Amino acid sequence: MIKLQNLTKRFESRQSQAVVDDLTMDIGEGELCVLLGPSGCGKTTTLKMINRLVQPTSGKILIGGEDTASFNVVELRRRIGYVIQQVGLFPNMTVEGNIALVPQMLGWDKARTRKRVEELLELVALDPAVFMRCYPRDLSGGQQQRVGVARALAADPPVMLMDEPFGAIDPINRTAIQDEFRKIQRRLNKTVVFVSHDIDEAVKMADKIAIFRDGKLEQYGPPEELLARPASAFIANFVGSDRALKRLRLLCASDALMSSRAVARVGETHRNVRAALGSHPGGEVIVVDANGAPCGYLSAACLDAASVNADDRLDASLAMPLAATVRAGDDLRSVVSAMLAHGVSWFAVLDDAGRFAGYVSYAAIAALARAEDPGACAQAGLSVSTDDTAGFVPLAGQEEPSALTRAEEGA
Amino acid sequence: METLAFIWTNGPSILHMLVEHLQIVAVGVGFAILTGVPLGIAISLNERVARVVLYVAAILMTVPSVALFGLLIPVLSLIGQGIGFLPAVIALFLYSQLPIVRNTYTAIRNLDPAMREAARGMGMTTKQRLFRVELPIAVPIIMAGIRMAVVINIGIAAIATYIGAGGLGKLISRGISQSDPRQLIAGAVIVGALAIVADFGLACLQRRLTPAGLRTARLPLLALGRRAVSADVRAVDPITIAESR
Repeated sequence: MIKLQNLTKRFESRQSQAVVDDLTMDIGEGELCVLLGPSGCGKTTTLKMINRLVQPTSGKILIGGEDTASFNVVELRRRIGYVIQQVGLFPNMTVEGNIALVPQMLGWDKARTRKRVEELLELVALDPAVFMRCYPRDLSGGQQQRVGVARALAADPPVMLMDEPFGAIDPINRTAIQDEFRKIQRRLNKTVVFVSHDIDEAVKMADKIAIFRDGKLEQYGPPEELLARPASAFIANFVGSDRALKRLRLLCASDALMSSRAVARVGETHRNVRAALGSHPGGEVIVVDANGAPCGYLSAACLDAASVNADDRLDASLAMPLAATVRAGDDLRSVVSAMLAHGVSWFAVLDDAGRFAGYVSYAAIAALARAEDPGACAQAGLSVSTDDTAGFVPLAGQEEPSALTRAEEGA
Repeated sequence: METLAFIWTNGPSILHMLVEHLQIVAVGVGFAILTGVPLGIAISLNERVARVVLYVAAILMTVPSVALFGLLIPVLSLIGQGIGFLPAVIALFLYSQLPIVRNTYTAIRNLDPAMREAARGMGMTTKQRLFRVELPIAVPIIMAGIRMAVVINIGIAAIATYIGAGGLGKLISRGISQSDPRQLIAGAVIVGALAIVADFGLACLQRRLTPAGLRTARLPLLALGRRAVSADVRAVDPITIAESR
């Protein structure tokens, strides 16, 4: 969608060194590409060359195959959404006036413009009835940037440029607006060039990350690749010594499920419960009720202490309470964090309906984090490498369904 | 009491002087607005030129009004207009430059650069940016400059009577030469009141011209326009300047 070819920018005042030096990169349609790097690395200059707020010294920029140099600058910019960190809403206009500006300049009629404004406000989760007549000064920083995003989307441009758009928003709102924007971007299939200096934001948002250093592209690829295989010491340093943890954020609990799903069902005979315990490598199993919802856990020790007969039925009161559970969609970084917080080495993973879906253990996550290429690992079926590395015995339980009750897979 | 009686009995002629006075101020400041606002916008594009222009305007401001009238006599005599209405208007025009040009310049320069970048990035032309964004936002500060010019010049116009331009200054000068405190006080009080009323009227106009999104809370009735728009303007109170001249 966007092709940069041998793009170079030199400022007259700094003749000797190029701010952007012979940059060539392609950004695919519908991709969110984050330009990342320390300040002064040329990422913002690159962004501004795309809508020609900065004129390139040499090189070409193609958008949708057309050379941007052949466009009238004003028309080019009206076809590219632009969002900046300071938002830059016009204080003399209402929210409606701000959003309607580009459609007006493009000569849309009033009814169409108005409808579009309402549509966009709903898209960015602001109630049109409340916010349309507001002035920017009445809005919080987060709300202002939502309007800023809506304004950039007004004329439905295929390409959006965003210069640290969420940098000035408080952390709680930032997370929310990042998530929402990512959803909007995927839904509308916009090609976005996004400048950031925050590696966490980049990992979270990007389809591809381009790391800049002194005007040159150091590495360009999907976030997993950058974190797993930094191309240079600079990048390894930039992505941080905790890059293994950052990579965990890209994976969710369901990626690290152990192959054993052994559980003890309330109402089962203790013989079967013993078998489940024996087959499960952790030495502790989840107790689930009739609906498949976990109600605690059991270990061999507490069964021994309870002095019950093998043919007695399992009672829920025997189960010990669970410290916490995680959801299948939770990212592994927060799963590990919860493990540290609760001092446990495994969690029961619940599906969206709150039913037991499997186990995730510290050993399995560690194995995943060490895996050379997470993409390949996921494809090859995690359970094998996970269990091998973790030193767990491959499960007999799966071959002997009679010995234990298996939770419905993914139910 | 005597003064009031004097004003009462001489009502028609005082009214005539008041109209003359207002004419001089209106024409002088009017032309200054027509030239000063575009000049202020123009110099906001180039800092070096701006410095020179504002410097010259500041120098003009330091020339005592009597001296300026004196200087204009030989120049305008060339076209037979050495005294009277024209030199008075020209002097007022010159005195208006500093507040109007400087406030316009400051207002445009102080616009949030982010806003300007957003406007450019959205594809607004220079003209659209000026008329839809920059000027509406600058209006309060430009208006503050105009108010300042009006108040200053109501005071200065009183002195224009010495070059035969008429106006309320006539009362004051006659009061001095005839040792008549009634005329002197009447002239001074009316000029002062005129300045206050004009400033208040313009303050209301300023409020109406300010885009709703930029308006502060309601203007207190007796603030007399002292509610300035920016720190820059607040530093120079129009009324104190007028009094000090």
